[in-house]
Amino acid sequence: MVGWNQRNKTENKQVVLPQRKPTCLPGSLSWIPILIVWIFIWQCAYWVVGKDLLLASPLQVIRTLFREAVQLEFWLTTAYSILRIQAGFILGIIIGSLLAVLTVRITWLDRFFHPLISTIRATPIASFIILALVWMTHDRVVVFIVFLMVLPIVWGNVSEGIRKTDSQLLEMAKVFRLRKRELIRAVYLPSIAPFFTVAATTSLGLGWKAGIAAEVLSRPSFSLGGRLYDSKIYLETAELLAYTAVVIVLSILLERLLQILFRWTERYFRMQWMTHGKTGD
Amino acid sequence: MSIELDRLGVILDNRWILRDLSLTLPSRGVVALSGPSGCGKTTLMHTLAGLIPIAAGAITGLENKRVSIVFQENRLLPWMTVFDNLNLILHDAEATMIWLNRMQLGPQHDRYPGQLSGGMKRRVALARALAFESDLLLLDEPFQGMDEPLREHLYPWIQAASQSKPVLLITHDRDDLTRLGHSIWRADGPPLQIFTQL
Repeated sequence: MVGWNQRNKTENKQVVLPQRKPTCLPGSLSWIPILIVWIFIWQCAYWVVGKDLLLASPLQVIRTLFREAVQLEFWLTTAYSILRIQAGFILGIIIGSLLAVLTVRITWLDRFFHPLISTIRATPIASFIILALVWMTHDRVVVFIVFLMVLPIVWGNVSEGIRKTDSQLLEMAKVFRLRKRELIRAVYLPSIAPFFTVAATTSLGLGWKAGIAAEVLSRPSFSLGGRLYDSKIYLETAELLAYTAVVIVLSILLERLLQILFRWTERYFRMQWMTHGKTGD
Repeated sequence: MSIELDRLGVILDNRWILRDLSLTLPSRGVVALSGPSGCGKTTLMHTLAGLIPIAAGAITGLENKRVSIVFQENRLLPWMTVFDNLNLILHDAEATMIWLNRMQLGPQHDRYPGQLSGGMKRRVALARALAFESDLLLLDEPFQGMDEPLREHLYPWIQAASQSKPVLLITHDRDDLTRLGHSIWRADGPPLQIFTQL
């Protein structure tokens, strides 16, 4: 199986790449000078504003980060937030995918769930958070809110992926009597995979934002959102910015982790295909 | 046992593409069918493959039978190598390589369809149809994009298949018609009419 985005290998072709001007930094580190410029702009803004209460300097934020990072509570807070948000994300991925399969196959089920999903999409997240605060414990509010964010995206994309599976390939599979398992593995999964990848990546970012917002409003113990709220209450601008930076870095790291996971899964499926496919499975 | 079409009718987009079509496919041999584009030849093929519902009439002799087909398009899985595309149908690595070598595609076994020429892709589709154990073989322009020596190389495999089962070949090429067709039918329509039988 080739890449899920239906890339084709071109190892046997002579590809002439456009010549790039030599730079002093390799491509993967080219963001560093840009970051330095932005930090300098931030520092200038700090000098212009001149009040720590309104805007902390980059140095103050870094100092706060180091101060927090040596405390066990910081790591517990980060771990619990990741746990809550990832629980909601995984739940949304599983239920969203299952619902997509069911609603594509059963028309009346699609008609039944469509208004619900549309309502979830259109409702402001704050309304759900406040409602959920009435219904459940503070920990579960975060899981529930992230789940609500992820579900419609995964459901919509996976449904579209199933519906857009090439009908000509499905006809081919029918004539050549592909087994159900083969049909799913050889035709459906590679067709749905690009839609699923986009859904998972998009919903992970949105889930993080919604999860942190839910933590700010529900304030469960050991939560990044809770720390953001405390910083606001105690007018700790440096801490507020430090925890915001932690949220951003975690979001980027988790997205990268997800991309690595997709690459591993793709490689696993390719290996599975090569071993089982050739022996007759 | 021969395959019989009795007053067969097929409607596509509120239009009769096949209407009152009655014919008999012999139990073996190549029936070469030629006619203008859009007259309903491919619809007939897809109906025989069980891909289009019948609106009227009946097909007898195809009950619980396996049909193999070279579609008008190649219909290869773009994310699988040539080998995997064929092995998916055959479930036998050795047989897969034998068929790829027969089609002169051995060296290309680990390539993806996107890396092949039009003629190569066509040969993979033809290998798939020939290798699949079936009771009826349907070929819709199977030699598209192939030159004369390659066609000459492939004719015997179709002739061999036709020894044991009926083969319906749609082609616009005079050489294919005369070299392969045990019977040559001309078609017109829609609705499809097969009005000449030589």
